[in-house]
Amino acid sequence: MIAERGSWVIVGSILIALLLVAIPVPVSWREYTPDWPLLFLFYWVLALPNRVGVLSACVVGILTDLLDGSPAGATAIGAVMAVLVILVSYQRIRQFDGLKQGLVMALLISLVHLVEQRLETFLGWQHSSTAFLMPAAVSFLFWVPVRNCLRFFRRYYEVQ
Amino acid sequence: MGWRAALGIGCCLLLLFYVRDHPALEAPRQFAVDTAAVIYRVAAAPKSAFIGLGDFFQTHSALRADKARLEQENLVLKGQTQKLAAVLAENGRYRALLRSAETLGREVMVAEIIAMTAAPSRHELVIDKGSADAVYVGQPLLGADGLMGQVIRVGQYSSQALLITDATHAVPVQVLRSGVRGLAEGTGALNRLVVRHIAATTDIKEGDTLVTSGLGGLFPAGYPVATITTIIKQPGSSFSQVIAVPTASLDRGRHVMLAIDLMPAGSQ
Repeated sequence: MIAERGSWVIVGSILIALLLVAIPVPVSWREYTPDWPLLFLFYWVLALPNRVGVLSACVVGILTDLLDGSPAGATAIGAVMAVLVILVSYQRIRQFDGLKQGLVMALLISLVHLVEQRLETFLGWQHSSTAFLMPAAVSFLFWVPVRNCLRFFRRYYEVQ
Repeated sequence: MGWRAALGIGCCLLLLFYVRDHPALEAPRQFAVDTAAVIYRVAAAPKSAFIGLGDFFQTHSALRADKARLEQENLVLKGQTQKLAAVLAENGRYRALLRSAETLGREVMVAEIIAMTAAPSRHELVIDKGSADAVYVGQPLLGADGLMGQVIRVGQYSSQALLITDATHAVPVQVLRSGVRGLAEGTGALNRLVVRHIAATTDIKEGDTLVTSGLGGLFPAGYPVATITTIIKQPGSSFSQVIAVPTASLDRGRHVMLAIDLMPAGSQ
């Protein structure tokens, strides 16, 4: 059993992801911002599947829900499902090159948003278009930089 | 792993479908709204600092020009207010003649916009007044040029408001010129409202101003909401498609006004 350390790096990075979400951008750009919390969460699950798992996904999901005003839990359910996929196949995903990993992450993020959208529709929210899938596409472009950056910090602070 | 996932999903479903509106959770909900406001404030801090720095280093001449402009504006507004007093008195006499109840005036409270929430499919604002300042759910939000939305979530020191252009929002309106009533619904685009269920034979024109009708009891009557831009009449359809643009600039400005209801409860 390896001693766990560097929890603050994980928690800190998730907090930074939430701050990145909250950065004010012009209204028309909002669709084109990547889904930072999910990207960061997926990285940590992929890197440390023994530490960051479905319960962390639940917490991060609820935090993003509270931040962007969605009903609490809608994103969390999707995030739990997506993280479950990563947990089952992290050894395989780790072998992929950056682009392929990015594709997987974009697919998972779109899954999360689809689940969130369906749940919100049940609760009476209305979604008029498929624009909610745009963050998934943008997140694809951001996966490699995010992964390299977080990997650097993980190694620097020896998070394990 | 499996049972944890089941536990997580179960908790979320419980949260979504049962616990969400439970009255016992008022305190955590308020806490969540306030925490979100803090995060938005921190994220906007560099921008605010930049704007503040710009304000600080404004030149003397620019400030003087601003002052001159504001003084002029103030004079004009004062003049209009004098006229308003006369009109109000006249209106009161007419009301007395018609024996209709006098509507009390409304006060406003100014709030600062902290941010627009991050969800791209929604139009929501975070403002810096909460239940500590007597903000309540459903309180109308006014801009300088018209109705902006209503408060939907209240924290202790901040709250979140839904804009009239959100796809889930609708406001009862009236055409100022002809008194025709309708329902202006948001579309999810910041410069577009649709007015539904307007019969094709109705007296309504492009350029007409829509004001709140006061029906529904939520919004005060008479505030400008939108200007009609397009009316599409399709042959064979009994309704015309009416599109309007909100009069309030929803994505600009740093301050909004919250209407304070002075009417005693239940008198409407």
